[in-house]
Amino acid sequence: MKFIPEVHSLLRSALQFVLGSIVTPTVLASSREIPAAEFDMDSLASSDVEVFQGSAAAGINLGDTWIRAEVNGGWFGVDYAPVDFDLFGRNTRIEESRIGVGLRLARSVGERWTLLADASAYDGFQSYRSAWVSQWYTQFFEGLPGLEEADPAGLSGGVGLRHEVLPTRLWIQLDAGLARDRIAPGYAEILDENESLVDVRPLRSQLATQSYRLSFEAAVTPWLKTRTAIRVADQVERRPRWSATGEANFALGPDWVVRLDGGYTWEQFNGDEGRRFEGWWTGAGIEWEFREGWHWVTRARAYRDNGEIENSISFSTSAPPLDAAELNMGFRWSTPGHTVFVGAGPYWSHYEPVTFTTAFFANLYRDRVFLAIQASYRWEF
Amino acid sequence: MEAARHRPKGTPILLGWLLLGAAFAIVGCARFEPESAARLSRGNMGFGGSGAWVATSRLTLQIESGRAGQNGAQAAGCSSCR
Repeated sequence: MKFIPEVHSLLRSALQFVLGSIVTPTVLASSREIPAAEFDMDSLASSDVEVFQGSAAAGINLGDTWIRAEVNGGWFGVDYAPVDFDLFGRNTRIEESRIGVGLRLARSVGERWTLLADASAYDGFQSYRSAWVSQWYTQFFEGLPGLEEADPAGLSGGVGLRHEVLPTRLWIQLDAGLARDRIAPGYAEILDENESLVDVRPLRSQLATQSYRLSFEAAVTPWLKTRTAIRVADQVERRPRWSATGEANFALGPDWVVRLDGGYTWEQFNGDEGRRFEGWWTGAGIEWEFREGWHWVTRARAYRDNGEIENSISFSTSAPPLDAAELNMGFRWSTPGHTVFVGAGPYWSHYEPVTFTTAFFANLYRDRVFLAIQASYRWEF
Repeated sequence: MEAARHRPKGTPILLGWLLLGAAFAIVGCARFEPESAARLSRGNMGFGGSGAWVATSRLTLQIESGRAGQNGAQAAGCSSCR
């Protein structure tokens, strides 16, 4: 029976690997919540769409509580172009900005438990797509008394609990959140007895979303960390949307790190059990420290979905099925206390052709090639 | 009736994940040596967090509506939310 310990060891290693690829580790949790200041900038630009966002944040310790405050902002400029058969449409330039603030707290309660809380608020369009659709409504129903000026904004808050199940090895975290958004509404047409359009009525303009997330982060072996999570978001008038994600980071020697990740999202169609929205994504990256403190970073990512869900049978603003891919290359310079990252690369978005119901948005949902640029600085003090 | 139709049906999935976590807890209990712990705690071995360690554009979330990590209306995939 001498072989039994070896078999047991082999099984244990195999199980560790399999579970490690499913279960997730985060950073060593404690290292995430340390005093630091962070500055991030992202931009995305194609021939007719430019999007920019930036943020500044600082985290400090006040007694046993870690507090991180963030201010963020964004801007986009879009060359709006209606489709040829849109008789009310005209070319125009859309430029919108957004500002937001956020606060996160983490407080140790006991040796292995951490309480988490966060709150955030924003004012402005969250995406250029939203502004494009809003512009279409504005032009199409221009002059009608029921048309409102869009003024999107939102608040969100959440609480969480993290438990270090195995010291330095395994963390489990549960989060719950609630968000309220004021959106630019869609409109229902009001017709008179002659079937002529006389006014419009705004549809839902407030949304409440609950979300829950359960995640596992594990240091599986001395060279492998994983994190897995499952999340559900439940919004009024919609079925719950589920997401499962997995990430694995491999330390291949002192100079190389390989990062893999993937995810799957699904949502049952409201009123039709046989249909559902599905999205998949996967990514891989490699980091090489070619000189002390200098890293060459390369990452590729792909995304696919089968088209956004929309109940309408005659008109819809929903995006058709999408394929997207990103390639990013950059440098990271890191020295004790300071980290700088600069990266750039192309991002491709490819939509399937619009249908009869989404025909007005053929120019919004057209293929684009973007240049994505990122820059970040982190100072740990 | 309406409430029942909208109730999340993921309880079995959540239980499955909890069992996975429990299984993992059984698999490995040993602490790593300081050298290994230091390697695992390097910034580029972490997940999410600082943009200095994440080489991907966060703006693509505006286009890829199915990806997790969004908040509020976008998180629930509201296609008519503007």
